Amino acid sequence: MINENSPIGRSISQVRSDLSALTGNSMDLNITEADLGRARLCVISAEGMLSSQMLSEMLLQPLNDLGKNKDLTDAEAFDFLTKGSLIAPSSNTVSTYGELLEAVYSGFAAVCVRGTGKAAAYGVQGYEKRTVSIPENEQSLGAAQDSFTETLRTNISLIRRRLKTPRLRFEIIKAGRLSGTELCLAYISGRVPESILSDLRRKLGSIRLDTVLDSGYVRPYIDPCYGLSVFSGTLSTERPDQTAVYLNEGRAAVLIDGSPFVILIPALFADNFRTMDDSCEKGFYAAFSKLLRYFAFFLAIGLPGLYAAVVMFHPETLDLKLLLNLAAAEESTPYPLTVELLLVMVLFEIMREAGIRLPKTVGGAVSIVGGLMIGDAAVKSGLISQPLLIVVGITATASFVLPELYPAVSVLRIVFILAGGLGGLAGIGAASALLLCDLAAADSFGIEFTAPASPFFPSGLKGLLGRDSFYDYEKKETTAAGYSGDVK
Amino acid sequence: MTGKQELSAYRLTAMMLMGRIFAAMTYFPAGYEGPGTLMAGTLLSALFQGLLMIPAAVLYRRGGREVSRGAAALYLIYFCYEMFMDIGGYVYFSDFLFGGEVRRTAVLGALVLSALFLAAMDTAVLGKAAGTVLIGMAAALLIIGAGAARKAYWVNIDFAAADPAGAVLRAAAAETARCECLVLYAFLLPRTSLSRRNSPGRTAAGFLAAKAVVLETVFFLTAAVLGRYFYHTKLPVFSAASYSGGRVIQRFDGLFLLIWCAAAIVKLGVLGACARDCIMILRPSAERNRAAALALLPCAVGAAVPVLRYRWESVVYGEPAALVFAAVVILTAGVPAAVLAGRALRRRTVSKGVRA
Repeated sequence: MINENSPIGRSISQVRSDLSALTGNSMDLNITEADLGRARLCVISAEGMLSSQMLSEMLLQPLNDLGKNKDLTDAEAFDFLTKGSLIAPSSNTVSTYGELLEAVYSGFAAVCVRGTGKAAAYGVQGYEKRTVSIPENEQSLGAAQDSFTETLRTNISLIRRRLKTPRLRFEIIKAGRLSGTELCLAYISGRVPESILSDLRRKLGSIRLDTVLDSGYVRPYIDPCYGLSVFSGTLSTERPDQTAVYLNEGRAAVLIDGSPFVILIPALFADNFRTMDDSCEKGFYAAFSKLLRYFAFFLAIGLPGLYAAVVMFHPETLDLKLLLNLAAAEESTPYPLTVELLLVMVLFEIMREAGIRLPKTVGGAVSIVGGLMIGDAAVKSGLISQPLLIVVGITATASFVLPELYPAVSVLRIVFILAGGLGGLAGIGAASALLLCDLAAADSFGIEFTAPASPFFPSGLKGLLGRDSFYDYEKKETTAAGYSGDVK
Repeated sequence: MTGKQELSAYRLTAMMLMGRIFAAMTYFPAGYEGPGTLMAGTLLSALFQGLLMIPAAVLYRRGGREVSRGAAALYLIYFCYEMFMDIGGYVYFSDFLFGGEVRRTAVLGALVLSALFLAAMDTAVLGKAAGTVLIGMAAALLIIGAGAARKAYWVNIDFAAADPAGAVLRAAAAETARCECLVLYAFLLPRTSLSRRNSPGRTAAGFLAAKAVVLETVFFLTAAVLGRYFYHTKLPVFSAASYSGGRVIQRFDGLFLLIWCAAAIVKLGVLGACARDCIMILRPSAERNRAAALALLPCAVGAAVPVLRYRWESVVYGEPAALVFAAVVILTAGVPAAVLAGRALRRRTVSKGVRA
């Protein structure tokens, strides 16, 4: 019984029949047989996975030239293929059908020579792939305008172009029993502690899924906070320059074949507030932008809840004029403020979800309908009040400032609305305490999520509130692993 | 979430300090007779508390890193009592914040659920959260103080008392009886990882100094704003905050409320986590979350009975201060001193045996 672990057959006809049996005669497997001199061989490839130009120039042409020798034997042909030539930049020798098919379905062309029981595989990939384009989720004004694609090799080259040091290492780990997806662990040797790397290798190797199609499939296995905290112990980026910055800071990156998003580990909470534009601006503006992002985070989470708490439980804190305006506005609406807020927030999330899934041309229309429905019609019909709409508008805008934190923010916002609506500022205090403890409990590969604020590292303070000057970068080697030192 | 976070000197201090300031913000028990004597008594108590903390510090220096089963049982009883008082107190005093708008059962339920979540966490994590709440407390006190400055009268700070010296001593004793933070120090110090810079002595001194400064500020602020009414009112800082305001925000009592509630939950979480650790010392096979629930829920049920039947006032103002004072002294100084004495005795017996 033939299976993937069976050795490659010694006769070409057996190879053909074995492969037909293993693949169910799948139409995308091409097997071309040829006689060169006295040698008999076959070229195996997958439909649409390789470049026909590369195949003919790099493999078929040299083979044809070799075939001019009428006395060429099987052994000589195989020696030429494996030892005596530099046919393609990447090549390897395989000896089982499983290895052969994996290579062929990765875009290799495999050559089996009669009597050898082995095949020589050559990387002549030429499948369709998306070209490098501008980052859609992490746009920047002053930084580089390229982003990762779905092709692992392209992504590796995008990083390598920025870090030419031989200390930058890439390790391939296969995951997915059916998909055989290549995961690539990237790091700068000496910057990432070996304990983190070995832990990562073990975790990546422990993935027992049938398919690994995206970074979301990998995160649960390597994120220590996954399922335990609303925050994530990993970062995700589509920017090669951002990845290079983090690699330089002693993080490891996991690239997934088929995904344009790279996972960075370990992550700190403060990393969510960093952008590549920080390094393109002057220090004072970078600090101002960063403080704005912190403020936006608090607005996105807490503003609707605070509004509900103050209006419903503590109106005495407001200025009399503002209080009278709010009272008049709320008087005309039929539902309690908490219900109104929840309703509008849920509608907003639905609108956002629709905007993401729909084609871009229709997405604009959804925004108009949403804006009209929530903004104008809902107020005019007396369903919600105008001040509430302002609060929701500010909150929604603030939540888009930090796309990486959006999932946590959108859920926490609802929690804070409920806390503020049911318990006033006491409820907000309670919810804040729980959030604080959740944040405090999170850590990523032994590095506390709240570092360098707590544990406090004076050297990280500048980067926390703004950014280090480039003269500081010259003097010190900032690494995330440095925050796992003695507890302050 | 690897559970490898370390309890540092700062985190230990933050937990202790936050707990004590929370108590000061909540109410003043019987035993205080005036602002001046209270402030002097607080300073005096700091000296006395410093002495109480010495045995635990010495024990730490001599390598005492474990709490025995007997000691754990004693600590457990104390932590349970404190949780009982804090749960009941929080529910009772929240009446004054909500004006009856929120039912006591809802407050109790929310508090217990939140505390259960926190009590299952590491003390190091809670220490970190306590540090942040402490910063929030300090900021809130500063804002409230600044906002109430125009309504503060220095003349309210007086030493008037029939027996000033006795009043100072009574205030010092009452202040010490409220310091469950001292017991936290004795219990948590063995598992604290202190750097060379932060010895147990320095940690204790830092805590006492910070506590004295913050408490004096709280007493000064409330007394200056409220006069002698300050130690008769419940939630004195809340009352002072209602006199405090600015141009944008009319009153700062909401700010107090926010930080007071956060502190209550974190404090209860700390006590719950310590009680859980005691249970796990007594029974090492106990599961962490279950131990936390086992520690917290009986205290919640115990507090629920009087507080939901509106009989908490007699509990909180009828607290046996002398007994609590004795418990604090025994658990802070007595237990570590007994361990030290036991070790010395054992060493002497061994050396005698070797000589014989």
